[in-house]
Amino acid sequence: MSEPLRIAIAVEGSTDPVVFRAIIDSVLPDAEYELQTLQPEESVAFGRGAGWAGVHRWCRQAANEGGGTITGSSVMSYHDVLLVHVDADVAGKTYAGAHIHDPVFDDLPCELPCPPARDTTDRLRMVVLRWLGETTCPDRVALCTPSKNIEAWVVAAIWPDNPLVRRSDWECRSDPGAQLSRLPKRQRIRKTPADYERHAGRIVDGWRNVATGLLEASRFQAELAAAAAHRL
Amino acid sequence: MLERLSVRTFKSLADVDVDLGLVNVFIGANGSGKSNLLEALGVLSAAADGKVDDQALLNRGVRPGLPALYKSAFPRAGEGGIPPHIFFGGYGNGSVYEVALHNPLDDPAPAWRFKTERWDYDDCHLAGRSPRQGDRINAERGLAALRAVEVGSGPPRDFLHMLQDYVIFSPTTAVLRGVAPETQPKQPLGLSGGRLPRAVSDLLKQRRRTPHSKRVAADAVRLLGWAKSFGAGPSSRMALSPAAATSDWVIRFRDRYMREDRGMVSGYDAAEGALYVLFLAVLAGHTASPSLCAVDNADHGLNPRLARSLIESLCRWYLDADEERQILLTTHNPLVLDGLPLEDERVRLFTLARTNKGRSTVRRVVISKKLRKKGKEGWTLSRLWTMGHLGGVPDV
Repeated sequence: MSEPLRIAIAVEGSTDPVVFRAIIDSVLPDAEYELQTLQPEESVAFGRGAGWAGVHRWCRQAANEGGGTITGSSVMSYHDVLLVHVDADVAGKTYAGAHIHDPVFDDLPCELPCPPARDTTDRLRMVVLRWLGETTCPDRVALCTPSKNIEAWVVAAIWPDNPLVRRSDWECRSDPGAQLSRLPKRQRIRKTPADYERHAGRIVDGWRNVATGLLEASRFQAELAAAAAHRL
Repeated sequence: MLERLSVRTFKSLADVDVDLGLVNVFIGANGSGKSNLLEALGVLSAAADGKVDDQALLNRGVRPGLPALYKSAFPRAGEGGIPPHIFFGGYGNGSVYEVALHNPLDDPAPAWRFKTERWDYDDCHLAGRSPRQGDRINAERGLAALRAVEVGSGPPRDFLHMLQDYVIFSPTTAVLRGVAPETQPKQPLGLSGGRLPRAVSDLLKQRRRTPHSKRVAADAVRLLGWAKSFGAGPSSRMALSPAAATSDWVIRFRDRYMREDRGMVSGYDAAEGALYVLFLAVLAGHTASPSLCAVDNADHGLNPRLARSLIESLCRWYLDADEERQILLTTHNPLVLDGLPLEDERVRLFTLARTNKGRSTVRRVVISKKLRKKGKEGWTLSRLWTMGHLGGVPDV
């Protein structure tokens, strides 16, 4: 029996691991893998970096542990693939707004007009790479920057006929997740891990269309497949 | 020494081989398969002892289960459903003991049947059976255990005895305090920690003739901190509330901060961490402790720093023991990792995880030069573990 792939993910929220499992199941259908979520060292009492601020904090800590770059971090020694997820709407945020007072570079906000979504996500990817202490995306690392956020992919996977999803500016809508509450009652999905888990199969089934239709999804799929091919 | 444990199609352990050291620590999220691994060795132990039924399993601290619970059932395995048998193998010091056990799913028998069995030493075949032998031999009885009577003393019999004596300890505070009964009594300690006062008394007596027991007992006092000394004696001589259900013997500690004439504290009243320290000390230092055992949740009731110091001491106790002894531990306390002298090959750390297909994986955490360098920069294994870098933490 071959060794399972070890995948580590730094994600923004509690529903995201469910989405990533579904995407991995679709992109690497035959792969057996272990998924490990990553978290920064933090105490609620000192203020927790929720969402993207938590990903930022983990990236900084891991790069620090790696001697300045994520490539040197122990996370890369004990895992085959690292996925780092930051929603593209972060490009419109500021560090100060997330109570981050010591950014490596003052490179947020970095948002550009959308469409095209790619202009902003390209800049955001450079921001995330700086958090990781890298200038280019290392082998075995895949950056995931869904525009405007990962719910755009979830909605596109489970409701491909939604007229908004079919529009060319779908990746530029600020709150794609709102569409989930407009689904017919029986198909409606609440943003909880349990509810996402119940509908994970629909994301797996619908992913191919997502990766065909949405540029960032397509880029992430390619990076994930390449990173997995580079396993230790 | 058990150098390798192999398990196939037992619970979440579809196909696992673990190369063991003398002290083996297993970490992983709840439900990752740590207890299953300890129990797999328990089933192997029962088989080596000749019978695998509920009583034999309970005697070893294994949760007895119906075949439907024991046999792996992975919905996504695509390997033709639930396997007909479960397989276990133990290897070490030139000895091999392997067994495949069968019990039908739909009409389970009280005892598992031996489908295949092999007990070898180097090139010598000592006992075995194959399905071809059919009903000529009682299939509920292991042949190795029977044959062991004829095999003279030496490495293969020692190996089999080591397997036979294996037990899983799951100490609980109420039993250690003596206020709840021990359900699996054993010498020197019950599986829940029963008989601790007598065992402590034994350990203190053994100090006189066994330097190892003396070292362990002295270390245990140092670890307790607040206690100047410990001992055990009849409960009638201790200041105990009559309402407290006590055993005939109790542990006593002398509190270093109290007046000499009022400073005795019984095991019933003492901080529970002290009882867990003594429990592990007895396990390591008592001359009658099993040569191979496991402790599930070894960090129970311990302050993180005490847990780190205790595991460091425990490693020393096991590595320096006069007779070779081996232990498997599970823990959820990150600081335990910081107490492991992993530069010594005989001490091993493993992470367990479940894959997307449901099976458990067991991976050894090897300390590379790169990781050692991080230690010099101030990073610790406990920090890396809780961040997720080593694997073996849940998605919460």
